[in-house]
Amino acid sequence: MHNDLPDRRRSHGWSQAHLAELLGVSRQTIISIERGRFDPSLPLAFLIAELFGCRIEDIFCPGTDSSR
Amino acid sequence: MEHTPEISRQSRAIPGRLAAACALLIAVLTGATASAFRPEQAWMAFAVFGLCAAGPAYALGWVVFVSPVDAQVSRNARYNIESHWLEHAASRTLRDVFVVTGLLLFALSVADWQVSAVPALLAVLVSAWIDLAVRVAGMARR
Repeated sequence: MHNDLPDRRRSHGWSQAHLAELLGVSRQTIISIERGRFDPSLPLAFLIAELFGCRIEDIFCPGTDSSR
Repeated sequence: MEHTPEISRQSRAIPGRLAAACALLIAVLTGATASAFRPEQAWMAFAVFGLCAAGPAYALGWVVFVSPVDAQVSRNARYNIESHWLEHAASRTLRDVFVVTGLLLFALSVADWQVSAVPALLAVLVSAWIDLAVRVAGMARR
């Protein structure tokens, strides 16, 4: 799954640790999502979209299956 | 409410002592039970089983008494990648246990070998733990 989470996060001036704190997840989770190594669960994707005030498909788009 | 460092340290010390007391109690009970079944080597059984039980008993005490007070868990920890790694590794470990024990059972049945239960269960438990740990570590390193 491709995503533009790093760009959106930087545009808000947030660090990975701060974004992780806002979402209530670990920093490793944010790192893995941004690198495309982990597809977030649907509830987490909704939380991310809500935080950035957009829809899930604005942030994530289908790509290769990276979650292992 | 803000706590001074002294109060905070004290509030952490109590669960720690409870965990240690829990470890001691379980270790003594385990040792006493083991020695009751081995009257010819009662003290040796008490010491060996008590020492072996102390570590896991302290871990249990830590989970029950210390972690609710001291451990910081993310609000949505269930969505963490670490949870994903653990679930994924656990499901694969379970599959491995099914396959390996099935194959071994088949081989033992065909060869008509008898294996005592304690080492067999120990082997299954230890190999499953190692399998799980290696899988989680492997996923974390990728």
